[in-house]
Amino acid sequence: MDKTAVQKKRSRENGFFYNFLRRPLAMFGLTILLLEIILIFLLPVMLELDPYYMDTPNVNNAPSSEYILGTDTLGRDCLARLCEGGKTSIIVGTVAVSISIAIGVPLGMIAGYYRGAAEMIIMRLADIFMSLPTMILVLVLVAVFNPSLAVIIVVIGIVGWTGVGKLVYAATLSVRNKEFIDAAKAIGTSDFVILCKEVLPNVMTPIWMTLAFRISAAILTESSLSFLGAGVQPPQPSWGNIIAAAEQFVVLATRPWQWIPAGVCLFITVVAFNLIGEGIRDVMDPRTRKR
Amino acid sequence: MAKYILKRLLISIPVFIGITFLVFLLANLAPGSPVDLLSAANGMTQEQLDAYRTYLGLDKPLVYRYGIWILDFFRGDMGTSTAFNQSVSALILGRLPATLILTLSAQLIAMVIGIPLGMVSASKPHSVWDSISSFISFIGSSIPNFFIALVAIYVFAVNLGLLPAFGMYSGTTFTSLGDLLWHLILPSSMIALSLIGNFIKQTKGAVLEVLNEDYIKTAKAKGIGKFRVTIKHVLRNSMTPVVAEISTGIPFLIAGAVTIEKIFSWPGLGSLMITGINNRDYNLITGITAVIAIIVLVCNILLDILYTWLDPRIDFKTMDK
Amino acid sequence: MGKQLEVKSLTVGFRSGREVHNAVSNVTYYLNRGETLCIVGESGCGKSVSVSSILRLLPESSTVISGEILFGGIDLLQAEEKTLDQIRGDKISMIFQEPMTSLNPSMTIGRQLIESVNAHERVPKEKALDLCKRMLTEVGIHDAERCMNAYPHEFSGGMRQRVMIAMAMICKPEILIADEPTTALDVTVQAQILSLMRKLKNEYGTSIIFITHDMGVVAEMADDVIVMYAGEIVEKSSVTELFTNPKHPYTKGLLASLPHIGEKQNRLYSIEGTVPSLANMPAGCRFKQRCKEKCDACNVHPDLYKSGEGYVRCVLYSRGDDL
Repeated sequence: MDKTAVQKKRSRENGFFYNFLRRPLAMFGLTILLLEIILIFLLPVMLELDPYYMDTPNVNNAPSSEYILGTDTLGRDCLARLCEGGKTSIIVGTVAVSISIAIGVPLGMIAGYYRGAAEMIIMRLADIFMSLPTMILVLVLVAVFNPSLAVIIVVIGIVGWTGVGKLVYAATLSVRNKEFIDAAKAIGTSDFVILCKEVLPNVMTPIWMTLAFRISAAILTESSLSFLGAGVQPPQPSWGNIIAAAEQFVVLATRPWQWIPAGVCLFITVVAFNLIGEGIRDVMDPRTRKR
Repeated sequence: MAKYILKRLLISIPVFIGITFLVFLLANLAPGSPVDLLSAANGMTQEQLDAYRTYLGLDKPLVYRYGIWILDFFRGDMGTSTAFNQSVSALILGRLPATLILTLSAQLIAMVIGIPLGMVSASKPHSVWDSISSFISFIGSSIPNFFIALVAIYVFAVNLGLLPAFGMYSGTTFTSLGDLLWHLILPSSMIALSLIGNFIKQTKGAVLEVLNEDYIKTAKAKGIGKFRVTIKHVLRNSMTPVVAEISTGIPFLIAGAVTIEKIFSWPGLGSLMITGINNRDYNLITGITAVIAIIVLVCNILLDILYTWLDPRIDFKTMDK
Repeated sequence: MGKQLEVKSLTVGFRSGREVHNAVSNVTYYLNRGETLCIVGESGCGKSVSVSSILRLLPESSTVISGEILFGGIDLLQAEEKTLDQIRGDKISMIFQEPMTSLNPSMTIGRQLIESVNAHERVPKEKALDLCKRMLTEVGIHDAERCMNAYPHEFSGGMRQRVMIAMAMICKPEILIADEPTTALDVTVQAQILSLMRKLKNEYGTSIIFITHDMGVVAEMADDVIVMYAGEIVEKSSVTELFTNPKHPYTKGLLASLPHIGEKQNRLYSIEGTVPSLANMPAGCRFKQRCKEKCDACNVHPDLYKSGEGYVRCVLYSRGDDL
């Protein structure tokens, strides 16, 4: 191999995707997740499933050729509701985390870059938010604004800003005195441009590293809320409120098809996101990066 | 030391005021105040409504009302619960022990299982125990605890009939410790499951780091034996991140308590909170959140003190930041 | 006199994935009773690894050790952990390079000292305390009482190294292994520590294996010297012989790179290049790439040849002790 070929190979070996694709567990997670998303969105279309139609004569049917996963207490198709609930989870997870990032990144950068009063106010605000467990805070907010899918997404997103904000704040502190920032200031670049072009790319690494974990945590929060009756409201299905059916002893004990599939799907989704997250973290974090 | 603790307490006060004010504000923003409900139901005149509003203190500015509320709070008066028609503080005091029993035992289980597993997997990497503990920690952190709790009830209570599925006692009140523990096993281990993973990870990481320290080599070279090296030198020095894990785990513990208490009909603060939320009982909600905030803040101060005991290098003066 | 410790064809390898890279290959030496043996070499030449294996302090899961280390009729490499613990700290003790990190930060110095005593002797607490205090005074710590209750972070590097020495000497060991004990210290403190070690050596009759990369320290401490390069012994001789008549080109280089007082030098000599990495050791002589006297014969791996009183691993001396 000549020198340039070696260099090329090196730079390729340092690339994110090169390393990520070579992690069997992360790839396994990614495959499962993609497969699940495809099924959730395609199955209802292909099988013409309706999650709201009540087939009243056929309540509480066990799985059969007509209803692959059986029917629930109101005669609705469990498979249809499972797919619809999956859509909810995926949407809540991704949109809520996007909101957290949209709030946390600017606030964290402002606190870390300007220091002073901005730092004081923003970081104390973060402390205040963090003094209550996420779940409790979300419950209070949901209780005040009547729960709907949109409210839940926004609430989970808002409450999640602290984690993002603290990471970005720490990362900003560590780059704000670097030479390239001083250089940009010296040539008269505005603070806004410095923040967007110089600081932002440098503080995003910890965000990407924790992204998948944040999504899985948001999904878990939503499903717990819905399970508690403070989340997505029936008849709109969510994996959480589907599982809540098992709070009735009859359902728990005698109709496993009405709640177990939703729990398993939820578990698989969280596992998939966590596997992907571990893969991303290992590839991006030089400390854990080993062959 | 006393000065440091005092300082920490003083720093916590604005945070406490901030969070309670936030919750108080939210509760007062909420649609459906008692007055609105009355006017809709009884068709009272405007004057009567105003009089009632004055009676409730609702004509005063929000900050003033908050001031009254927090003064009353520290006097132990959190108002009356509309759902239970009882004093909120009495309700909370009545439910607090059940939650403390549940969460503390869950914490204990998680530590007793998690810390040794983490140590073993650090000292014997790639061994069977290492694989087992990675597996447990992965499952524990990925499985929704309300789902696994239902599965556990399905298996252990419904099918095997080994453990009770709900409540704290077999009867209506406390009869024996054994009975309480028997009811405690399922709910507390379900909460513990979600905590174990992080204890394993933190312990493993910390022990791996300490094992590479020079002073471990020194200790081995003294010939004091492997056991003493592990207990006296490795364990003590790797406990700092584990203590940190306790404090990051508190939110999970409380969140776990909310869902698990509901599933197992455990008569604690979590299930009280859910009742409060379902009934829009804002006095109750504000009261519980304030109490939880105090618990969290106090735990963090206690853990900070524990840090300084674990690592004598930490200086109180430098910790003020 | 007589051989107190014998290291025979010691080879230590580190596992890296499926491969094993030897950090120390086929090292043989012995330590005479009451003498000081210095092992010199650049960092990464395997000197630390070779002495750490004497007390088997290397992580067992990642190292492969072969050879023999004989002490008092026992092969330490084969000995049971229990037998080894009776020797560690009692018969053979060790001090390390980094005094700042070599003491347990969460234990008082007194408790760390007593731990050493208790591991090997059954003495009442009062007596053990007394012994610790006396030992601390002996190593030049005046306020022994206060020191006993202090934590390591309250002391400077030099003081901590004194504590380390007190801890190592408290059971009056037959052999003290000192792994670059002065490298991390200031020059003035270095001199104090060296004279302390010489004093204790004479008082207790302890033999010392002293590892350093500093030829100045060698001149001050050693009776015999071993020069190591890339995991191998390249020269072995008495200290006078080594300084008056160095043989191996590497030894010559080391000595030439010492500054001499009173001589005006424009530029300090330095050996060009770096030590080859463990993963790709050159075939033949391991020093050949940096050697000024290399020839074709260097492509064959040289043996350790006897030359005068000592031994040299260089083909130039393959015909005996002329030249």
